[in-house]
Amino acid sequence: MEIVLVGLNHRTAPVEVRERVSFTVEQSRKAADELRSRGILAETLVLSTCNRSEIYGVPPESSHECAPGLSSFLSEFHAVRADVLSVSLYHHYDRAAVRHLFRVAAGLDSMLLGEAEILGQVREAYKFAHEYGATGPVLNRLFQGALEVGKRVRTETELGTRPMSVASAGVKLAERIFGKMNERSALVLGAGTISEQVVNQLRDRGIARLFIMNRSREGAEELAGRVGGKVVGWGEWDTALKLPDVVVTSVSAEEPVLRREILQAAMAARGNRALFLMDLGVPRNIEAAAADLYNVYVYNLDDLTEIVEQNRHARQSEVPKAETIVDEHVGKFLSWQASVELVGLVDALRSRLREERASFIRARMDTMNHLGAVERAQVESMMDELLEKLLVEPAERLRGEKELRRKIQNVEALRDLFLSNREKP
Amino acid sequence: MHTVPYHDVFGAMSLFGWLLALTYLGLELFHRQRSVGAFVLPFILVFFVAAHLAPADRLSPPPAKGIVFAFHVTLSILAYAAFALSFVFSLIFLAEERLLRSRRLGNVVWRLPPLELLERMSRSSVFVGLLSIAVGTVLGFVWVDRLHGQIWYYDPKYVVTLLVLVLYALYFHLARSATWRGARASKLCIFNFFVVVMSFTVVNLYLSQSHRYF
Repeated sequence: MEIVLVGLNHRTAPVEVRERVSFTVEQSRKAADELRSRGILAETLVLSTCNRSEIYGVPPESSHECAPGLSSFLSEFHAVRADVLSVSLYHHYDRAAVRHLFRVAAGLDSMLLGEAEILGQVREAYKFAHEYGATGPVLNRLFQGALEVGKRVRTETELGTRPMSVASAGVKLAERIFGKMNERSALVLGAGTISEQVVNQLRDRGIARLFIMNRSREGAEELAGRVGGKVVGWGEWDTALKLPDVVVTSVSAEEPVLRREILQAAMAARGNRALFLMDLGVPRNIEAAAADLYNVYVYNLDDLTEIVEQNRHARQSEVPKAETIVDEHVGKFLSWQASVELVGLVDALRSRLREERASFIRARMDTMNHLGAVERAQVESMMDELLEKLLVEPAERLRGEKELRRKIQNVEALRDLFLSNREKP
Repeated sequence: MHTVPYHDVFGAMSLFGWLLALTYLGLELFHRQRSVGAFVLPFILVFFVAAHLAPADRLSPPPAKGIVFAFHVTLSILAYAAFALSFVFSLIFLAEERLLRSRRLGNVVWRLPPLELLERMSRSSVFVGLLSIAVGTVLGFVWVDRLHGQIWYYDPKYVVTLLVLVLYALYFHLARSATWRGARASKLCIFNFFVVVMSFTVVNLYLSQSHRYF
């Protein structure tokens, strides 16, 4: 056993447990130090996001006993009762651990299938652990593999390309018209939670300017203060609609707030520059007849919900493709690992055979008394030559033949067979 | 400069294809945008294939050589290539606009370039076309003047070229105007290109004496 993973995620643990077991940067450094000094792990990497806390590690010597050690370390480190924690924790070893990480990096294990953030978080976690010196050859290779998987899944499949929430679908649609948001401005009508979600999306996409309009001015000012925007007086359509490219409405009103005439006048004032409107109000805030105005694009809540629904299906259908990429890289990593282990095994065998030869000659010294020093040296070097010959060919083949390495899946077994009566190197 | 392909369709079309690709490359660098390439490439390929399938009859070479003539040919074909590009951009614009307005988004829409980018690229492509057709035509007159000692003799190509020039200048102007910006301008751009195609086919093959292949 080489790689161990202990952790919990949004599926196995409720948020109360997740937030107690999460690691800050400082904490993950401390955890890595402690795990090493206690001899539980030789290489450590802590991956902690709001949906998961996982410790990836390579134990100093082969043993199956380090997972319980890790679990109790976790409960001790975060002062969470072991029995509370144990129901939430999962343990994976070797192939399963590698596969788990690769699926995480691909976004296949995320709450929101295919979300992009996790790859950045994996990259950060790796970068930090690597710079701090907590990782070693195995975890370095493992996480480089994970980053590669994440990148490939994002470029070769459509798992992460389509927006999955109403707010992000709206903003992505606006980008279909205007391109990047960083030279654009938006007007937000209403200061409720939905408005705020869209504002956050717009901020994420780098919107240049935000205007906020609300029936109650305090509400508008409160939201503007929080997200950084300019308050516009309610109903000042002439000025408010002249500049922005994107308009988001989420107002509770019986009648449409934005009537066709208002928008028609606004379009004339804008010189028909395209206007994208997201109507998130129920009942609708924008008069339906406004949708056929020239260069006006109106999407209401139903339209956006349907797009999200379509995208969910589209993402789901991309999962097999992503899984194939994951499997391919798991195979690649394991064969790399096996080759490293095999080379180590050959080295161990060689030194073992050298020692055997030495003790063999010592034991048979009496029968060789009639030989002079020169002849004795000759016999020794001949034996060495024979041993090398026996070893060199398999070693060369192991280095050269990928297929052979793949076939020898359990290096441990070989080690047991040839080096069983001795301490493992 | 000694081998400007003016005397057969194949040569003119290949040159056209190359210039198309080159113009697109220029626009891509200018607008720092690469998302349109995948949609332009098929059109470039179509022109190359068309060039290879074109009839291989050759015109007996008229007394045509010299650097002025070479530039006349190259610039004119460059202009047509630029117009063809703006046609492609406008076509994509219209299709995407229709998709977005119908609110029935398929899978493609997420991969299409932004509408305003298409507008800008189409407009700058037309700008390149206008510039090169203007210079190219002037060079043509200069060359004719040198050849025959007279600057003017009637060729239907002149009329069509003037028409193309006016139509594209109109588009260039209207694409930014309040009433026309967006889908209307794109439709005009598509119409203009049909005039160019007419100029390439009907006028060249049946009407004009000296402009058989471009």
